[in-house]
Amino acid sequence: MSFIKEFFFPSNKTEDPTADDSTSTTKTDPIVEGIFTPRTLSNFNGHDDPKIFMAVKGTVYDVSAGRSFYGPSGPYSNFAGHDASRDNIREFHEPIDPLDDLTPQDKEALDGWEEHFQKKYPVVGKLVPGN
Amino acid sequence: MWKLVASVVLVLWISSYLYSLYLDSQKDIHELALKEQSNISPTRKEDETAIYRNNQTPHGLPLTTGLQVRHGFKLRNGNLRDVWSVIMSKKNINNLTFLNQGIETIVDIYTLNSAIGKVASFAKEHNCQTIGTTAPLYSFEGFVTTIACFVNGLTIHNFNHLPRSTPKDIDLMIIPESELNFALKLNFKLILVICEDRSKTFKQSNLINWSILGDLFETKLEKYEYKYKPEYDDGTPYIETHNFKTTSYSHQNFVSSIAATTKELPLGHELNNQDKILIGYESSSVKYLSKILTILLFGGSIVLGNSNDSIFKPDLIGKYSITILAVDSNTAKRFFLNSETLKQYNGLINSILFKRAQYLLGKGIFTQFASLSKFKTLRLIYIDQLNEKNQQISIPDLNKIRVISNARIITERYFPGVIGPILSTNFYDYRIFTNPKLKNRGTSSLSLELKLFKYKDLDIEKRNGELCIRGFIIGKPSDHEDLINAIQRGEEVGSEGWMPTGIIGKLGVDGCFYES
Repeated sequence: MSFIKEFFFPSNKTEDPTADDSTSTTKTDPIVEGIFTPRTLSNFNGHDDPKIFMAVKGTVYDVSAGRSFYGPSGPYSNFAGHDASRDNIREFHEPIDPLDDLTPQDKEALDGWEEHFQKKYPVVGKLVPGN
Repeated sequence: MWKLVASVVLVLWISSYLYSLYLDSQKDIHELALKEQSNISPTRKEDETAIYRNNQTPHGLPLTTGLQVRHGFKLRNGNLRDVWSVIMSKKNINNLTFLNQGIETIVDIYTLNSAIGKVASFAKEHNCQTIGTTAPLYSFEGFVTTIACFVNGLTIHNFNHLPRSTPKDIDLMIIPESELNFALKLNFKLILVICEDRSKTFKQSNLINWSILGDLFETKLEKYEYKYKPEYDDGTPYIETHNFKTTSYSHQNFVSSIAATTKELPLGHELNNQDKILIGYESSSVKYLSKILTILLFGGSIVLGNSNDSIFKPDLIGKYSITILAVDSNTAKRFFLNSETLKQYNGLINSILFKRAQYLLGKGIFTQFASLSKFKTLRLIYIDQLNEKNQQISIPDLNKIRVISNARIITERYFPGVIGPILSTNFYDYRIFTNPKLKNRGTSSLSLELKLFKYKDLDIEKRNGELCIRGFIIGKPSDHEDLINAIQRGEEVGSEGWMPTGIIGKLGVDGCFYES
């Protein structure tokens, strides 16, 4: 009967957007800004989780907007989910790079990258040692 | 027989499908646009929701901060002198009509400009920097004094009641004669008394009749001399004491609010010099200012009054060919949902048309076939969602008003201490929800961003909490104790410029705020 009613008298009402089980959007909820270890950060590589996070000098950025660069098959996909302070990235089971052997030129280049990320991508947390 | 039935069903099905396609093509806006009305930050903090912004000012772009006046190679936000200089440069003559205590006073902008000069000269002559007044903004005297202060670097302090103690900063007080007895107890330095009897004199040396300014309707002044100086952006042009709470507003607050009001309207429905606004609320003057200045900026005309005044009637819409109406929820009901108006939909055909138009609105289709000719000039209605007595207007009632008036409606949520609305609904949002209790307050102003903060047991993960706002249209409490309280309350909800409002509700998946 409800089909016939809907056929002849279609409803003009919109689904309740405040209902907890509302299906009107498929968007995931925003990430809570927080603390990441190299292991938890590694999940956000664009494969395991659609979001792409990267750390630079201990700060974690959400670079999902730059998916074409940092996402799977992108030219910088190896940095996704990692500490990208240095070209030679460390895997999640290795300790965090202390960055204590950088030359002045390296430091300058790294500061430039940090500034670029600060301007372009939202900060989502800090990278700390641990598992 | 079966073939016939099958053919009929097929024809019905095809016609129904084609009709639904036709209806979809008639919608003002795609339903997807109504499902995602806010731009949401990708991250959030513990005990908070993400930060929500209007889609027109998404994250990564600045909020609306001003008028973007060209200054050499730079753009600046502007100030109230810039606003007045643009108003005075308009070629068409716009009128202002003041409806106060049953009396209509009509002046053109050049006469007003001349009157402003006279008030400013008087203030200068008596070394007045801050002028207080209880004359409401919708009175000629109140409006002239307010604009005179705005465009001459003075401060206007507007009171809705005379203060309990003498304010130290007031150099000149302007009051109606009816308030004189009480004002005398407050020992003001100088009082200008608005008297009906223009020849009346006073024994006290600090009392002067308003008529000393001369006949303010006599002369016209077409030019407003103005050359920008950076210091004109500073200072406090407006202070309002509403129910004994004092808030000061900067030039930045005003120009941000004016810019937000301007940009809020969609393409094809912008303000223009043919617009005539009828504006009337129950109390706070600050609700009037951004709309009045915005309409004047576009060369339009103003009719302003108090919605409680006996003269403030729906007939004014036809009388002044009003195109935009700005009123509170109760006045909107009084204007459009009164028994006399609804009686016109009693007949069978009119009743069907009325219901059909409401049904189509729910589908997102705005039609004209059931509107009343007496409101034919109207194109937009701003409705303050809560009046002084917290009386609200339901979503189905809003659609009834849309049908009757043939005007789009933007409903607004005001908050004390903020110029202009903090939230407003989409111009094209006519949705009716399956949950009839919902109170849709819309999305944030273009000059604000908002978030919810954890409140008592409400689940912040499900976007329930206390509304907090941050942006450029928020005034500053003048009282030191109120300021300290405001800072402390701000720190409780994450600091960084956030202001809690005490408004509890939920952010829907469509990006709109729904008040509990």
